[in-house]
Amino acid sequence: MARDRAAFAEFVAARSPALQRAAFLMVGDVGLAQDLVQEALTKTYVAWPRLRDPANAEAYTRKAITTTAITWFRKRSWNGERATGVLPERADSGHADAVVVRQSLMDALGQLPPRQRAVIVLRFYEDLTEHQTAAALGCAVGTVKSQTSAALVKLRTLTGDDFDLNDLATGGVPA
Amino acid sequence: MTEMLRTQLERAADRDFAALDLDAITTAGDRRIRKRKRVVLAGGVAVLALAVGATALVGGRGDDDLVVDLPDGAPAGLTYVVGDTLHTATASYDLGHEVRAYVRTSVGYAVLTPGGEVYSYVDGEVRRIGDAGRTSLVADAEDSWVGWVDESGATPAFVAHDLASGKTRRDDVQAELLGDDEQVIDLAWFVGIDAGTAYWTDRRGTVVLDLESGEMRELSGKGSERWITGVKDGFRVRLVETASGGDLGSEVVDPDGKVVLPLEDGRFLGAVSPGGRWVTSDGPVVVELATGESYPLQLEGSDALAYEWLDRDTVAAFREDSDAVDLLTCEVETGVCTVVADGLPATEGELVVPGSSGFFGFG
Repeated sequence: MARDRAAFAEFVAARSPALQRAAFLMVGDVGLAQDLVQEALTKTYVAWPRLRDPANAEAYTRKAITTTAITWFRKRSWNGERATGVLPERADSGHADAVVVRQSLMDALGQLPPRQRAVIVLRFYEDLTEHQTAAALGCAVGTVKSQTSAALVKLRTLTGDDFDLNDLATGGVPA
Repeated sequence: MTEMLRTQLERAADRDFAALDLDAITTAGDRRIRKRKRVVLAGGVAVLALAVGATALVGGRGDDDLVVDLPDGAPAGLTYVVGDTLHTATASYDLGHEVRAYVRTSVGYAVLTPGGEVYSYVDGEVRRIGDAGRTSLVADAEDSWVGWVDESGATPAFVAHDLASGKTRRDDVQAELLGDDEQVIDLAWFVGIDAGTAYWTDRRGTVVLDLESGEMRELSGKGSERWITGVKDGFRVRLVETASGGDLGSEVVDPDGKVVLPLEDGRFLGAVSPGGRWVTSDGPVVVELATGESYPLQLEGSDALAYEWLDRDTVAAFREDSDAVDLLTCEVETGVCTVVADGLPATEGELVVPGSSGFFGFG
């Protein structure tokens, strides 16, 4: 499959919004998410002739986003940029609840180690199976299971009872 | 109120994003494709493509009496050449010849001129030691041997020369030059020199020569040892191909031929470090052979590459923007990089670093 620019452009137009949203959940910043997706799509473009099937392009891009995000987190730790660990105060009104819950979720995600954060996004937002998640992370399925469990426990601790994690753990989690 | 995690994630991700710049993506991608070829050749390969249009080398006058006040040996540390001047971190030296490629050895330097002449720089003396052509030079920086492919005769030959003793080994390239339609049939390349052993590849496959004894053997005919792109302390970097000959990426094997760093689809590897702990990759990262873990280098900007090992854990790297190149040294374990020279010319062929033919040009 030669480097078909038209096919690549079509892929970018169709999938970049979803890819940017997933990237945002992984890194917590709109600008950073766009840089991440741009970087991942550049890698996908380079690999295009090897992908053999355009359907493989999304999985390849998703893997590039995930692994690049994890590398970026490591680099940021060199510069002393770490999550503060302070959650915002919760408002009492019903209207404010939705906004505060949203902010709490992003803050809580930001306090997860990079791999755990990636697992949450891939499993519960991207709706990937454990095997698909393992492929994106380049790790074993067992690692995905343990990382998922640890991440859910930590999210529960950080967010209190804002999320029905019990429901997810039994019936809502994809196979 | 309890909500599904999925619902909350969707709501959290509901943001506005600017349209991606497709032209920027494809331009950056095209640049990386060119750089990938450089990474493979920065592993120390001198490639000979036996192609249409091969012409007789332009003979040059050897300046055998030229004396260049270089320091004895070739001190470790980042070096580079612009024009006919070799630069180190602390000094500059007039080499007396324009440089197309050069290599560092334990006793001095070898230089390839644009006219295809090879000169040695040892103990302050310059000597013409042979003719190459369009290919580059290879050497083991911890030893005194240098290698190239001599295209000056009727039959090209692999040549290995000891800068310390003057001893030379030659082996005719075995490859069919051109097909009936005058298209390239075979590739031949001098893979490298490692601890007194030379590696080259032609129609026979990969050939290994003990430089001291002269004993030669074929490592393998075809198959996995066909495309070795770098060798250090017995560790070999190999290209992995599809059945139709497309490149998938690189793997590394140990001296016994066991895969120690398996293929990762799309990852191309460069040079193994002295001691065999690390290998450079296509990007500002170094990979640890034993674990496969990537160690990012703190190089700002995405167009950056590590290209030459200065010691077991220190690598030379460049970063490039549209106007200029900076050269840096990087400590792998910390990722910390220090600028040695900045604002160097980015035009291909003006700036030369060890082991490349022109500034990461090739062929």
